[in-house]
Amino acid sequence: MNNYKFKFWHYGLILTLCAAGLITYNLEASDKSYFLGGEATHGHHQLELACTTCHGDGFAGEAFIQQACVGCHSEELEDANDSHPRTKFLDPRNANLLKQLDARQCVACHTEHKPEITHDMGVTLASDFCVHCHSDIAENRPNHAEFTFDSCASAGCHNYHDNRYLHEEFLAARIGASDLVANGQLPVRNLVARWKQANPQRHSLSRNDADMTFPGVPEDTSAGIIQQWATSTHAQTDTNCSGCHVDEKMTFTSAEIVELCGSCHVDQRENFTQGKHGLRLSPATPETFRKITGAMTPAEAVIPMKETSGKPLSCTSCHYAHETDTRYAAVEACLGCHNDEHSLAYRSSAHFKAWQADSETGVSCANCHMPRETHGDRVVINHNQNHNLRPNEKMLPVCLNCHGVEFSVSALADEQLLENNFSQSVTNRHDTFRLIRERITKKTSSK
Amino acid sequence: MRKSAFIFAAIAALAGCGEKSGIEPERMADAIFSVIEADRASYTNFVVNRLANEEQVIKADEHWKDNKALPLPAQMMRMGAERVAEQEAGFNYALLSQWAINKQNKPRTDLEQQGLQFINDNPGKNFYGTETLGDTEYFTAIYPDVAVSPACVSCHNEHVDSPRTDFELGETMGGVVIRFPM
Ligand code: HEC
Repeated sequence: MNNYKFKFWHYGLILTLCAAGLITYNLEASDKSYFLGGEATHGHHQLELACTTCHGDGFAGEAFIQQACVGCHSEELEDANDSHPRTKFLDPRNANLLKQLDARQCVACHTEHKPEITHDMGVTLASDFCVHCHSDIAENRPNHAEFTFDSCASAGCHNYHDNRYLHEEFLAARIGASDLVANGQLPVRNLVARWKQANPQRHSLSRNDADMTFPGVPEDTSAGIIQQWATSTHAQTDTNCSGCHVDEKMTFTSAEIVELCGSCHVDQRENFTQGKHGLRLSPATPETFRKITGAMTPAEAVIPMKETSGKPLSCTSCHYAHETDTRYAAVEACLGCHNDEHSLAYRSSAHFKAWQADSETGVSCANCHMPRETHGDRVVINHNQNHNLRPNEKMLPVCLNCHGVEFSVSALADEQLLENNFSQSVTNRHDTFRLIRERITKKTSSK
Repeated sequence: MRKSAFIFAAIAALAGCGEKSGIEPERMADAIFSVIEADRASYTNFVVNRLANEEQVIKADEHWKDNKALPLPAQMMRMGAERVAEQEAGFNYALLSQWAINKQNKPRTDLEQQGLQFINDNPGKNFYGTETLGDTEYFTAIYPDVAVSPACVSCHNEHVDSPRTDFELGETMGGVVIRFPM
């Protein structure tokens, strides 16, 4: 053996085999990170190692990728009354336009893994993309001649997909409202009241009804927990210890918590796993991926987070398990992790001062970012905190509860106000209202 | 040998049948148009004109979803056209006009331009032609879209974005374009 002479190509072979082994291990048994072709956008970075979600077996073509986009985003686009749905481009009369920009495919504008050319909203086209089809806009709307094409979709006037709260009639119907609406208020939450109405035969529970003992837990700790539970909405709605601690289970992973809470709070779980807090637990990702990675930790975020924030995110990151006071979840929980300028400026904002004085009329982080949505007679808190930021005009229905439309649109389009959390007055009124006023005059005279 | 000759003959006969039962594109387009036109006139007369103009119980509005209103006749037709396109039914159709409220409905191809002009100049006549769009050749038929109801006229004449304010009942307001790949 000692005499065996390694030839140069033997080393080559061994090296190649080692490399192949490592790469295969990474692909088949580990996190596939060697195969990442460039960082994913902030919207997808949590899922960048769930390759098969978008790429299938790796050889799946364009149609599969398109279906993957639609699979997660179609509901949102439908709700948004998408101004440019794929169906709009299927008519062959668009053939020439499609040669310039194939608007039938999401990836024509949103190419993934290209951080160097990715703009807001994950758009990878130059920001004047509207020009491809609307170059003649000034012919039909002479007052648009003064604007550049890179401002159409970036100045808070139009969006490519969602124009629900920006279209002319919406703004015209609300123009002229005062900046602060008298007695403005958010929809009143009604989950517990509705539960009581639907379950008249069930009763509130009290301390003595707790159906669990806590083996191995010190007496005063368990008494404290029971006390918290007894004053919670869970006790009010006949939800006993064993409802969550099935078979006396005492420790849960983040995925188990989300699953457990979600078994009753179905909408909340769905929305939570659509937003960035819970995206990794989304049922759209492969089960093996969910098992390997679990939920995201704040440290993995791409926006600034406090160093103290460590554990994988779940319902109990913001809501205490036994106490259901949502005041903590609505402000302190957010500020426990988020460390960007907007978050840090919140405590000096008028919204926070009002919240400190009275949490019914004040404005918490959650009031804007987890809006109360009315579905029939249900008021549901949307637990996808990213929903109304893509793009931020989606937040208008929240603002309009308390503010006029000119004030709100102007504020949402002002970078500086966004950064300082609306800590200054809204002085730059949005140009869109000058144009709307012109249209209103023109309309009245055309009838 | 006999067998293969038989199979060959059978295939030839079947292929022949296929050809015989084929419908001329013009007749096919006419048939499709009559369905589109019938639905469109019924919707405008018995839904929009009745409810919005005569009984005044609900409005027809471009933002029908937000405003809990009726879709406009043109939108109703486009919904159908988009659904057909999505199902890859083998043809497409669209409602266009030289005096379009929505500028995306202005003629875009040379043949559309030519056809819309033809149906305006020749009331009651249809226009047929072929054109190449992208890499595909199409049979294109264009039919007059006539103001069949007072609702058509009043709404277009009063619309802020309408380039014409003098439409009259019975007049051609635009054209329905039907296309098949050849
Ligand atoms: C309540 C108002 C209203 C009524 C009623 C109405 N239209 Fe329209 N029509 C519109 C609007 C608005 C558009 C543009 C809609 C779009 O493309 O989004 C339009 C589009 C059209 C177009 C396509 C070209 C264009 O202007 O954009 C034609 C052609 C047309 N209508 C003809 C008719 C005819 C014929 C009738 C009656 C059968 C009719 N319209 C009834 C409002 C109306």
